[in-house]
Amino acid sequence: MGFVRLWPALLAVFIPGIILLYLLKQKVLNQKISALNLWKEAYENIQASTPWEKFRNNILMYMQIAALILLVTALMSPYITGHGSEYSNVLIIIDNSASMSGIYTDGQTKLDVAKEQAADYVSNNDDVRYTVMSASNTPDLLISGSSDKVRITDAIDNIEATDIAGSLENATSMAQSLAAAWKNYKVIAFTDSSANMQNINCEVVDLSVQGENAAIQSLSHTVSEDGTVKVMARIDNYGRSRFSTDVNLYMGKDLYDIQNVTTEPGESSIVYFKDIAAGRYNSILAGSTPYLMAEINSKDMLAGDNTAYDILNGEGDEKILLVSSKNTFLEKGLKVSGNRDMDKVLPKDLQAADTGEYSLVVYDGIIPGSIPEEGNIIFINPPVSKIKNLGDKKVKENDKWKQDIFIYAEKSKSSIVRTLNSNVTTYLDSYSFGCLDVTGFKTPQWAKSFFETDNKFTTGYLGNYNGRMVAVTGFDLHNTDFPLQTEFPIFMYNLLRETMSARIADKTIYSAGEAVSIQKKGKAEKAVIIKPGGSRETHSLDGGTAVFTDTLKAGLYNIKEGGDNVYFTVSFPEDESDVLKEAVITSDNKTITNTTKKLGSVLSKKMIVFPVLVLLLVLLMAEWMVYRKRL
Amino acid sequence: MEEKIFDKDFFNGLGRVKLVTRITMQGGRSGMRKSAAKGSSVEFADFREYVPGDDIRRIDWNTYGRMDKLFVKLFIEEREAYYSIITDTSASMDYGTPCKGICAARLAGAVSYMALGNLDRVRLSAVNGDRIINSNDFTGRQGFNKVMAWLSNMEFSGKTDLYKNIKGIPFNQRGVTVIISDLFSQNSTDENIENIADTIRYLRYMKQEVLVLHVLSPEEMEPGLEGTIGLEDVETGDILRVTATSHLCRQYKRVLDRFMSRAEECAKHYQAHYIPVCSNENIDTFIYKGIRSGQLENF
Repeated sequence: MGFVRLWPALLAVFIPGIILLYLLKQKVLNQKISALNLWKEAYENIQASTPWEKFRNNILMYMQIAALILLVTALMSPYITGHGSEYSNVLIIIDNSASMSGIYTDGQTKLDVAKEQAADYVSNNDDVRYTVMSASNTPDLLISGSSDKVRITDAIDNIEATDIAGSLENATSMAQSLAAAWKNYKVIAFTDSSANMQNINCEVVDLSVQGENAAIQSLSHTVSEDGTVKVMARIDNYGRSRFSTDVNLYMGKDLYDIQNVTTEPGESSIVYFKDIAAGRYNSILAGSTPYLMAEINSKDMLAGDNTAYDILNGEGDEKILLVSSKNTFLEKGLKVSGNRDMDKVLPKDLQAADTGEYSLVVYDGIIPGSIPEEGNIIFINPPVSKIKNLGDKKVKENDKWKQDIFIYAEKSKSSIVRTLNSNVTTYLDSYSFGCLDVTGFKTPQWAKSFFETDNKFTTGYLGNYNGRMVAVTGFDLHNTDFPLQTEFPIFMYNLLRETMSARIADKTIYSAGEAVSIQKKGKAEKAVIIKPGGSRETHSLDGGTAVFTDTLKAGLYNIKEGGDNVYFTVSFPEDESDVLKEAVITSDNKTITNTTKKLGSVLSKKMIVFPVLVLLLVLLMAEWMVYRKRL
Repeated sequence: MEEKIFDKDFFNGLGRVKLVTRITMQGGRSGMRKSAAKGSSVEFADFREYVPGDDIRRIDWNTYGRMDKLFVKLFIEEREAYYSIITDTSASMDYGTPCKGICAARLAGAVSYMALGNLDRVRLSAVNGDRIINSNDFTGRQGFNKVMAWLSNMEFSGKTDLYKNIKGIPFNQRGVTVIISDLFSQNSTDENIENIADTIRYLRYMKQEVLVLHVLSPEEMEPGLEGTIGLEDVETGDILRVTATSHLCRQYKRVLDRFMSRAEECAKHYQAHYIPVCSNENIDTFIYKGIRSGQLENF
């Protein structure tokens, strides 16, 4: 049995008043007896001299005290706990976002506590249909309307911690949808972050605890002109007190440097590590572990944000070949790729050039006789005469690639070219420009369109064609003012980012929970992803790409595809590191509970105010009857 | 005492029983009790060789025929028993419903009636802490009227001091002493028991067969007190303020039971007889208890 509120217990101070009143109004009647000695002996035997003896037979006083106690009890809103629940449906939402991996008590994370409490609630409440949901950024329905306690407990037990940033917002929407179908339900949500649980019968179990936490939010490097590499990391202190720690820098798996840093509460500090010599850096790049890792040496509440990686992607190896008569716009545009080497060659000299050594070959206004063995390709304004009739006739085996890449649709004198939503047009939403002599294509199956003509044909597309990235645009940059617009370098940057190398993974840094698109490179048939825990996941590359979604834990991931060995890192979300952030829980039909007690006994309660009031009424009637009888 | 002490029911049962004594009488007038003396009666005692001077009417001629010697038959002299009936007339006896005093008077009357009917001599004594009132000796059936009159005039007042009072009563010959009392005093239970023991020991020393009729009222046997009350001793006026609970009443009952059993043990120790009597019991119950204890027997 428990009470919702305790302040009415103060009314119990009136009990001594009742006793005092009875003490004062006691009348003593003398009764004659034949001899006192036996009574004296009996009285001494039971030590009847205590003042409380006076009240033994005062039934009215007891009834009045009992009535007062019942009144106080009723005001305290009593409830009892038991194995039966008053709800037929219970939805358990367990937040498994990154911050839930934080330490709650010694040896237990918040998620452990949430799972334990939820399991305890389930074991203590029978005749309930349970729905279990884990929620980070998106909710995940694990069990729906089940009474099988073993299944439910297993599902709760199998909820894994993630390093995804998130809140219960989406889960709340889903809960509201589910609750709409239930007559009698309760939602129990375990979280350490803010939650808005209005218009829902929800009990939010607040698991937020404040403590000390520091995080490495970024690790980066710059290569200076002399080839030495400078490495720096940012350490954020989310705790209440000054945080001093050693920060280790690893090159691959080898410890390279240790620096001490002190960070004030709420502040950030930058750690500069010892410069890495050019030779050593190059050897790392050439090795099998081309990454840097920084690690905080002290323990704090959250372990997941104490490590950061910086993938060294070896961009120095990538070279671009531009095959163009003369296209300053394109040349300048390709410069946005940075310090990469770019060679230029006229179309007539193409035969002499060794296209095999380039990561990217840009053909401007021409179509080569044969496609390069390796590397990615951008075709700018391919001549219509060479592609116009490709679809109608049988071609040689060597020219089949042309049929696959170019599916001619139309040639228009002028058209407004509009951007479509794709990686190439990032930051160019709803952008359009005018253009003359625009070639319209049908989008090949392997590609995705990013430019569209007035007639809804594509005039720009990109895709993975047989393990290489191929992009095509159907207009000459001289026939448009697009290169003069500020959007042009953005477009070129995006285009080069997508085609610069046969990137197995799009990026080197992903957020937890973000899907990783793994591109086929060369003739590899499968990609093996090695996760931070060491477990492996194999994906087939039959369709040219594979999607890897299990990026729930922050850390270093390794993709092995053919002979290539690519790393990417999943970063710990910055928001989740802030352990001092106050959890604002908004709810209008609930009680907010912390976990000082087992939930099984706290939440599986039935209000018993009404029975107590009935008992009080009966007692008052009985008291009145006794009083009348005594008159 | 406004209640009628002796009514028709009283006499109905008493006619069927008689008192039993275990002592042989010495002295006194002739009666119906065996005595140590030999004399004329129908109760054969012994043979003795004839010596000159003996009453020749007592020679057993049948024996002379067989033995050729003269023998004289001896018979037990039957004497009257002397009953001293001591009634406690302290204020504590004027208590209870029915009143213990009336019960005591009835018991005294019953014993007197049976004794007088058996041609015994009866003396009544009314004692309390202040005084002793002894009656004359009563004999014969006709003496019972005087007994009734005497008992009816008993007044209950003062304190109880049995031992002190009994020493003021003359015991000139063997007899039976009946003590009718509630045995309560102002002393502690231990002192009270000691006082009872002294009393019985003294009476035994005075060659008395002792019968203790311990009279208690129903209120004393089963107290039904409730609430906060002042218990006032009727003899001393002392008040004990208690909260009477069932627990206290149970405890009192235990104390009373222990007191009664100690009184009985004390009586047995000195070969006295102890019969507890509740004032609400009728005379038949008393007769039944008397027969069970061996103090009464049917004719």
